[in-house]
Amino acid sequence: MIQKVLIANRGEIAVRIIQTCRILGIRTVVAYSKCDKDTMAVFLADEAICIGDSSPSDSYLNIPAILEAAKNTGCDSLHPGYGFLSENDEFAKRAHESGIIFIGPSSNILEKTANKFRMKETARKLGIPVIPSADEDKCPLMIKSSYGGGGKGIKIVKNRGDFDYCLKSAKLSLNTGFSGDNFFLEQIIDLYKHIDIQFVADKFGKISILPARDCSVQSHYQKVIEETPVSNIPKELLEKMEQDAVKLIKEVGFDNVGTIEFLVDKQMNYYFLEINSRLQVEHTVTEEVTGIDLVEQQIRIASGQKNRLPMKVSAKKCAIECRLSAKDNGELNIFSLPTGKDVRIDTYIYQGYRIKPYYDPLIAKIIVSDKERRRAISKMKLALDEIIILGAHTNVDELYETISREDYIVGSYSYFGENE
Amino acid sequence: MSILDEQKIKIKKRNARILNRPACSNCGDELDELLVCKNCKHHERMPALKRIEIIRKNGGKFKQLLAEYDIDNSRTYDYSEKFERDKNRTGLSESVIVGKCKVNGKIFITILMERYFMVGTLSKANGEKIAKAFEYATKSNLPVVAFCAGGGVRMQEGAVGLVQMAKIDATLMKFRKKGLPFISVLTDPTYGGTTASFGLMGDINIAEPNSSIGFGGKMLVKDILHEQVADDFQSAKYVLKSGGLDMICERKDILNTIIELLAILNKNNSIKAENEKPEYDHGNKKPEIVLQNIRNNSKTVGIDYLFKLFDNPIILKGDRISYDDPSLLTGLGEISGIKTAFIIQNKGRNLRENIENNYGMTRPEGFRKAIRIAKLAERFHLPVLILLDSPGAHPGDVAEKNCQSIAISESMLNLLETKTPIVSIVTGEGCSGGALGLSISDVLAMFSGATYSVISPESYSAIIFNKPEVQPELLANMKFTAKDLYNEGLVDEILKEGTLEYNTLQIERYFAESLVRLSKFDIKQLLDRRYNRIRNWDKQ
Ligand SMILES: [Zn+2]
Repeated sequence: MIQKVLIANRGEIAVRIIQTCRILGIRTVVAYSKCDKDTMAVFLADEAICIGDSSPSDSYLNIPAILEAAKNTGCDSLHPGYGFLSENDEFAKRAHESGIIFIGPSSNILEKTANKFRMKETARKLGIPVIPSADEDKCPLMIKSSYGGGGKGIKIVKNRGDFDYCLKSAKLSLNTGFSGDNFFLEQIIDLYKHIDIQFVADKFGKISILPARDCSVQSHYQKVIEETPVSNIPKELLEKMEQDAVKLIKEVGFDNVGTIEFLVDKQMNYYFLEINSRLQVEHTVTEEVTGIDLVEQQIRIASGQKNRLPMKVSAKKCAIECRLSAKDNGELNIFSLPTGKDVRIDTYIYQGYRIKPYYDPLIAKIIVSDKERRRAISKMKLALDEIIILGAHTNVDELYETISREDYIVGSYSYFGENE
Repeated sequence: MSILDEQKIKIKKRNARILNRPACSNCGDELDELLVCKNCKHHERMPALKRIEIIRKNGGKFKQLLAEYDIDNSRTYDYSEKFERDKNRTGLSESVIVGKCKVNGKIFITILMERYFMVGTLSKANGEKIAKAFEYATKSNLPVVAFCAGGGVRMQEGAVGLVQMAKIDATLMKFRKKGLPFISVLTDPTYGGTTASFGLMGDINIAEPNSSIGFGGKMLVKDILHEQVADDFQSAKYVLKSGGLDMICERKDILNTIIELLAILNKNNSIKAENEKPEYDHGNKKPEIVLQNIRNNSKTVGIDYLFKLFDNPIILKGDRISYDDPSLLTGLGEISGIKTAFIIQNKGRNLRENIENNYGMTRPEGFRKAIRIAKLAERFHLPVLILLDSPGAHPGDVAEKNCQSIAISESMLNLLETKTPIVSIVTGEGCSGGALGLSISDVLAMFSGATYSVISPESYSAIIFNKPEVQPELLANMKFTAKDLYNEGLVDEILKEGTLEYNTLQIERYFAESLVRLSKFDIKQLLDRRYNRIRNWDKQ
């Protein structure tokens, strides 16, 4: 079993990883950038080590600095969190070479899953539905990056004449965290839902499928509100997706916690989108409805332990997560955060914390759960009303307005981006 | 307000937004059909078309006029994009609507400005339209009621926009010469181009609550002058205090107030001859008793008389220069069916009121307000009733800084020339310049228990005898009782005094009777008579 973990991440996920490590008796070291010295993770971890300047490329994306820090602090493992280097096969490989356990899938698996175009081909060969390819003469179409992260790098081309411009802007919009400039073209589908199949797989081939998540409330293709279980997709369709997921996991030989993402169109066809080979932001809702600690699962499996979960884990209740983000930078004046039964807040902010302009604006994840979905929505409304944060503008009103929508309440709402 | 109160308001506003229901921008509560908050009475901005709708809902008629002057100059001056946007969102073709209104039998021309159309700025086109509106009203002998809103000059049109202000004022000048009433309603927000041309030039200026009214925008003051201004800077209350407004009137009452004002300002007055006469007296009270009564805190003050004499007085505030003197109540109302302008000195009934009213000491701005009201009375052929009760004109720093001496003499000079009958009655303490400045009249009476003196007895003792307490044995020497004044021939009559009801009746009867007596003079004779009275005041 792992003894000491280097956390190569920041913000709420760094805090989240520390929480589990504390319970498991694992020592923690937080690798932080210069401006992150005042974060909650640095305060909570057993040790903290500065790995470079504030810009991500100097710190959280700086592979040599991170590995050096792990070695110097005597860590036997590292947890990459999400984003940054979490799905970088080179990083996983070099960690392994340095004798450090990468908490996540092996580097050869990451190498396979990282290329979206290649994964799509793999899925197609297995008979799993994928979004049909397009060529640039048949607009509208979608340009996707093989290595794009989340919605980044996705561009919709309405007219043939816009193609070159869209391709250029797709390239520009890619963050420094993702290398490669391979793009592929897909037909536009009548998008209805974005479904995540969460799974846990070990090194011995045992696969467990956890309740699926509905992540259909997005902004610029970035998820904003997620929930589980999925409420408005036929059960048979979900089961098919789960079966396809298992096929794909087996084919890839995936050996840790991951997610297979599917899109469903309005005609109830589903399409494989990609594999996320890391812990996801919205893993919290799955934890709430199953009682499983997914970070613990990651650590146990990375330590070589067997997956002891049943093949199919069902949801005991319904959980919703809202991502609270800052719209500007400022010193936070926190007067109140939600409280009460079945209310979970994953955050790293504290009174007087100054939001850093270099990183993701997520400041807290508000998660509520209840036996009934409608009651969970009511709880979420109250939770959002309890949030009193001054000093920076947040998206709390937009979140509230979304979950108050008639179509959200019946489960049919979806929104992905302005281009839709 | 606590953080939680603010949160509550934020939540209320958001919930209203979700339900697509207009909400109070102040407290987030529901609005009524007049866009006034049901909870805090905050007045939200009202679009011009909605105002017309309300006039019609109240049984009024509205017929649009001069629409042909809505000329689109936005291409010439290169702002067509904004112009088109505002055309679409307001359904108007320029920011000013002119119409002929008939409400409760009163016909007037109305000018409505739309703040949501190019911020209600004055342009070449709507400047012409407003000018035409005043010319139309002048030609048709109709009053004008303006609902002002919006900003300054449409800057895109440069100096052409600027001169609209003067152009409108030229037509306003002709309109005023005709003696027609102009009522201006200032709504949120009204600024420079409007306020510095016609907006604050109403015979009556009414503001809606929580309107911002000013010359230069707040940003301009903060960013260019780098001046720190108070929170209430340019608020309706601030402008009222600065003397620029007559009143702040809730939206629900504005139309009625306009109708009441137009009913008074119509130069159609009747003075009946069959009035009963007041009861006269010899004023045989001892000076110390008189003084004691005058100094009694429970004594009747100006505001008591105001609400007994008039059923529904319209109090008009402000000197239109710098201040509204609270120690002087001025306005319009009806006594025994006679439409009247009143000027009433008002002491306080208790310490709080006395502090508010400066102990009844008239300030220079008070005299200037009195002059303004006398001129208004002259323009609309209303007699003036003046009730005197003041320990004197204010002698302090604030008064000197505003040229108190000049204000008193200007008051006298102006009242000498005011072309309408003036009746003055000393109801309490008539003292020094404070009384004299407002004593210039066609008849002057005193209540039997009133005083009229060159100085207060306290000051008299202090200056002449170097003793700050009043010396009872010296009071008689001051000759300030009604009998003293009557014997010197300085007042015309001594009115018998009793309860408030009785005194009110006495004032009413004396006023009506005096007007009947004065009605046999034409204006020239009246002014000659007034001149001779004052010229020979000390000759028995
Ligand atoms: Zn309100």
